[in-house]
Amino acid sequence: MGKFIQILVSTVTVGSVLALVALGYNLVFSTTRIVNFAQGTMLVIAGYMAYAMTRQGLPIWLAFILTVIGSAIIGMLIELIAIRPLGRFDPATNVGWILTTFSVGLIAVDVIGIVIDAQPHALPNLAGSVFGWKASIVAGVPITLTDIIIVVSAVLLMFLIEVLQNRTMAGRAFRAVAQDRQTASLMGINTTRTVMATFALAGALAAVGAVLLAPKLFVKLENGDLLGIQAFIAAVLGGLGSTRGAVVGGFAIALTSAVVKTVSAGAGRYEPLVIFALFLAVLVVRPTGIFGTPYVEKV
Amino acid sequence: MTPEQEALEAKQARLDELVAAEVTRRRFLEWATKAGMGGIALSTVGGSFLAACAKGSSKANGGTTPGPTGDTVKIGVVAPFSGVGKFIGSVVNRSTNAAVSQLNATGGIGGRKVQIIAIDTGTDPTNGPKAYDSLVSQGVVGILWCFGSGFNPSTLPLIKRDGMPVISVFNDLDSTSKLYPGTGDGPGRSVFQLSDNGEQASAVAMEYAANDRGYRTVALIYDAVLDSQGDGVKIFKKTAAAAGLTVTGIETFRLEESAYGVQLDRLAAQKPQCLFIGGLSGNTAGIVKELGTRKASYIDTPTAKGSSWHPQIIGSAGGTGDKSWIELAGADAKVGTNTVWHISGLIGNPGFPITEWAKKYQHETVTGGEEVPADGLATILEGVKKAGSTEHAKVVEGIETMGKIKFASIDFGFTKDRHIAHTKDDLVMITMERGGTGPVTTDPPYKLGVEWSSGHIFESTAAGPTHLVRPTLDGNKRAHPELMDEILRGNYGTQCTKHADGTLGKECKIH
Repeated sequence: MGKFIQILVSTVTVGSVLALVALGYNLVFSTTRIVNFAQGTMLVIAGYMAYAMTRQGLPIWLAFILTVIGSAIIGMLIELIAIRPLGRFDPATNVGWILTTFSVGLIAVDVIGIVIDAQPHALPNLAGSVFGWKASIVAGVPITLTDIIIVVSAVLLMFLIEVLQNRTMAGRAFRAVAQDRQTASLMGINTTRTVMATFALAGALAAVGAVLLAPKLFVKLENGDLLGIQAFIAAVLGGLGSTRGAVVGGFAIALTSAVVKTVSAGAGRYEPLVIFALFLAVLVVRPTGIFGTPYVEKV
Repeated sequence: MTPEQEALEAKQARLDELVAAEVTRRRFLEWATKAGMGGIALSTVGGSFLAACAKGSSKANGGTTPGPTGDTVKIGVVAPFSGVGKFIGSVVNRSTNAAVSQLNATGGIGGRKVQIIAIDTGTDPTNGPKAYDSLVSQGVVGILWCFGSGFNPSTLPLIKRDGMPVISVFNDLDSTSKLYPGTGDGPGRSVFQLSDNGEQASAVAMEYAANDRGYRTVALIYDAVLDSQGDGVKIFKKTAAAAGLTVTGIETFRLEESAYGVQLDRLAAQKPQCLFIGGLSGNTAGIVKELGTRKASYIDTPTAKGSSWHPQIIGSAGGTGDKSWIELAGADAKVGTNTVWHISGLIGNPGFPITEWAKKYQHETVTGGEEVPADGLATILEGVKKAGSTEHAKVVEGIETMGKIKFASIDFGFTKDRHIAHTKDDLVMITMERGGTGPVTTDPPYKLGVEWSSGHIFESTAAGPTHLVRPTLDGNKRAHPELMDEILRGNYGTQCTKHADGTLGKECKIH
């Protein structure tokens, strides 16, 4: 029983951590058909931004709000620097965006290291306790408030993004731009603003992730690469562009990881092998990922 | 030097200060350890785009000290002077600049000035051979390799081919067990290692756990990314067995891990009295936080030996030896969480000349780690003096026969069969500590050493290394009687077991 609960807790908490980052990848992809490889870095920028504010004495809740705003602006800047100069292009054939988003991310990490510092830091816990409750031990497995908040946030954000994409005018604009930017433009949609708004939302999402994940992963320069790669795999596994796919992809990777660890104490040495094998197996059967749909260009 | 050059150097120095403001010696080891991960590590763990841009553009850095051409002894220095690992280069610069200034101010080497030729490898391991070739073409007498980056299978054959005297300055996975004679298939004879190696450190920690604390069982949880070959596990098992300790569990995690529940569940079932953590500060903090959530934090030695699980933690240098782990772990960072260092790495110790030289010539404050490149420089120059020549083979022979020397920190030396400078007797147990009262109240009360008081190096430091004097005192006295005498008399480090009559007891719980 204890093992089952441990696997369950590990799966939902680690899966939600990955999902929070993967949602950012999806958001941008669903509108622009490009993968923003600076998404992991946005998590790092937001984390250090929040750290810098709390270091100046700001309460964590205020730092959180300001970080969400600041990170949204950073998201727009990334679009401005990495995507806008490429002009109109077909993401499928012109892959310059891979280099530009990747490069902007790497440069940003270096800049943080110089401007703030390269040390890992802790952030004050956004939710210290609810009615004095911080953690419980269920069948020998500790469950913390941080875990619960991460899981609830991942699921909640998934629903909110789905509502935004499917039930609002803005969401329709996102999808229209993704489908055919030129036609969307002719229909009166400001495609430039729409794309920029997507990057801003992805930035804000990164800020939410950075602050919520800090009690578990801290604020580290490495988080962008380490977590970014895993989250990207989660997003592809779930189906790039599918919001619930990002969550399911994250859970699938976390479940695999938890099972492998339960089976073997030496799992750390071959865990990626098993995860990548699963990744390949899923993509062989479903090249678009679990929830992904083939992109069909209308002519 | 022109005013423009001076302004540029001043600007560089300010930038260096900014980057290195929080640097500890542990950060070095952390970065060096990362370098041991090879290409994957450096592209995924903060791999530097700026460093990649610098690839192939070997440059003389701020560390270059001008000297009359043809009348100088040139020493090569390889370190990351750009990119994310730049803080390492900053400390190397501070060290070599201070040491060279001191050397040249006191007559140089037989009247010849010492000149540093610094090459920036960033954090790109593929820059190693290019850096090496560049230094060879400039006629260096020997090289200080101040970072694992580039010190790899591509560069090592070149070193072997030329018999180039190379000092492996900071510890990394490669230099831990493969570089010096009799320890592997490395380039062997011309490489000398200054830092302590993993096996010595592990042996000291195991002896501390077994003899000092009286534990009988130990377990290990380690980062399978950093130690992908399992070298650390082999060392752990070997040294545990030698100390008579029973290994009750070995668990793995990965650098990117965010939960350790499965591993800790298994360890909790075995209840090891002492838990070794092989990982960086973030993972180490994550593990002790999870122990805290499980109400399994370390309390004291009797409790660690009791029926419930409260293991004492001994971490790796890049983990609990990095002061940032205290900030990350918060209240779950417990007194009694230790690691093993080399005694010369305790920059707060009295009488390390490098501290004064940095102040005198560079108007800078050392941050930790500066003693090592300077001692490496002295090693090569002593070899030159001893050999009476700058010919590589003769310099190597000179280093092997130079006996013990003292330059920037404590005395050290090499022999023909021993290319590693330090012995177990040079190692000390340390715990990272906050200034003031420490993470928790202890019984008897925890008193920080004099280096934390007004006018000393840690006066305004939030956290730093505290030398636990007693556990290794006998060995340290054998190796460095004068230094240890000064430490004891001056109340450096943690000596809370020192009684009024000057004798040392074993009752203190904080260890």
